[in-house]
Amino acid sequence: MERELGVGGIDDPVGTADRGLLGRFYIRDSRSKPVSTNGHGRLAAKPDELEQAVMATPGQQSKAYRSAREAVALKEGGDLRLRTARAGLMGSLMVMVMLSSGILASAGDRPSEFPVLDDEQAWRRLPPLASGERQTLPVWARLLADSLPRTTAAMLELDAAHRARNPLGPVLAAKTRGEVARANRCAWTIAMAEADLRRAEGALPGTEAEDRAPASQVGELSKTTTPDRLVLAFARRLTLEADTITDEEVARLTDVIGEAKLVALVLLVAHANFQDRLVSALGTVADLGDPPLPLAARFAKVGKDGGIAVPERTMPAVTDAPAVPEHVDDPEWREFDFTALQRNLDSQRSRDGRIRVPAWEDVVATIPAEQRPKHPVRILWTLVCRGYQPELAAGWSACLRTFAEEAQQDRVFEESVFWVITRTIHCFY
Amino acid sequence: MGHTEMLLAVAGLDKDALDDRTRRLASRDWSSFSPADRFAFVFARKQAKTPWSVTTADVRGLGRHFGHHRALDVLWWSCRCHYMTRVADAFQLPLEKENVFEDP
Repeated sequence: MERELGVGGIDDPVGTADRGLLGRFYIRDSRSKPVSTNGHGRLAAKPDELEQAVMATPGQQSKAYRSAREAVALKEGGDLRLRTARAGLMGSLMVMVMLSSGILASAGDRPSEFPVLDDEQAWRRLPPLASGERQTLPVWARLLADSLPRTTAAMLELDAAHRARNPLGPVLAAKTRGEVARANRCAWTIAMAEADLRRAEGALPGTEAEDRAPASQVGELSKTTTPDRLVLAFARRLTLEADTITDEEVARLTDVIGEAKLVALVLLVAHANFQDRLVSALGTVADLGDPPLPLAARFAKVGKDGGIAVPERTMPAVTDAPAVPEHVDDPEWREFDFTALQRNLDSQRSRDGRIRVPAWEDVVATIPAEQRPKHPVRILWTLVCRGYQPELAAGWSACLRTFAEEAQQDRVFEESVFWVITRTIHCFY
Repeated sequence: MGHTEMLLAVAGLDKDALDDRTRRLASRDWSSFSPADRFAFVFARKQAKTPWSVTTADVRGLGRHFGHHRALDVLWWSCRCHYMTRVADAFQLPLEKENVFEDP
């Protein structure tokens, strides 16, 4: 499949000299179907959409994501260079728009610092299956399976719950997952979401790639429906600027999709922000191929005393570690001193929430008898998550529970890290 | 208290210790924390703001400070916090007045 890049008027001497106007970009596939058109000039250019169009060659997502870290972007004042390169597979013409100061740095596309088990080794570390069969494991599972085997199993099941059974429906869930992945610049999960989207929109294995291109493919956001656009915009904002979301935005979204789907959406975005950071930081390598399908199998429930041991955690000699500054060298950190932070907590106590909180009596009915806590849960967001979306909430709780059992980290340290993060992103909780 | 402070209390800090710790965290002077703790805090801040900018050196530093397996724990936990904050920010539920993480 070939795509063409046409650049019109980039040599416009008046616009270039006077306002730095650049020409428009048109990307078309081999049938001359428009894939992406950028606006005229720097301000109207849409680097995200151009990036997505370049990356979204149907059926070639693994190659696309490998190119994603190179392919983009437009930045005001940047030194624009255009380059076309022959990509070997299927003779595709890959278009790469590069800036000397490119704003897209694709995350995680580097060799991991941690040992990567092969599939067989990783499966041997995980709990036995209660149903279903072994599948190819995602690279993050192969990286975590030795250190956190039961946690990895819980994460695989939660990943499958969001990708295969999220109440938003498979199409909107995949679009949303992709939106968060793009916001977090995580090429591997972008590719995963694209693959999920193609499957969700009825793609059949073996069909020619271009025939599988859905009408709502990335790069054609204008064709998405209004509710979809609301959902995607919310997902992006919750990822990048969660503290600026307004009550009115959430109220409008709730009017459109309802409370239960709002919770499903929030939990999907929350999980995606967890997963993207993990994948990006773990580091993967470019040649791992397409992300595997969501896990169809279920693991046997193996408790902490079930015989799956974890490696001993041994702190190394400090002398080998890099030096760390003793002071926070960031003016932004001074923005909220201790007193200001306490004031923000006070206002958080007196505000109204954005969603009705289910009663414990309703929530407890969703919890299997053997897992019910001794005392009623009073944590409001637990009531909300568990009350509206029991499977998704229980899947996350299983991850937390098994991680605590396997890692056994110092809890004061853990909550101090949490404190630093909430302060950093202005989440006054 | 906020949720993080409630959880610090559940983790064993009394009121004075909790107050002292959060004041030190809120200050720009982190010299009283161990180098490993400081490295984790700096890593968590960077990953919170620009997760795509985490480098091999950042991850390798976690390994040098904490060892391979514990570094993965620290990393997992740091990522986990972003699940919690998105839920909190989305719903903006009123902060509970009592420590709801403690058994009644």
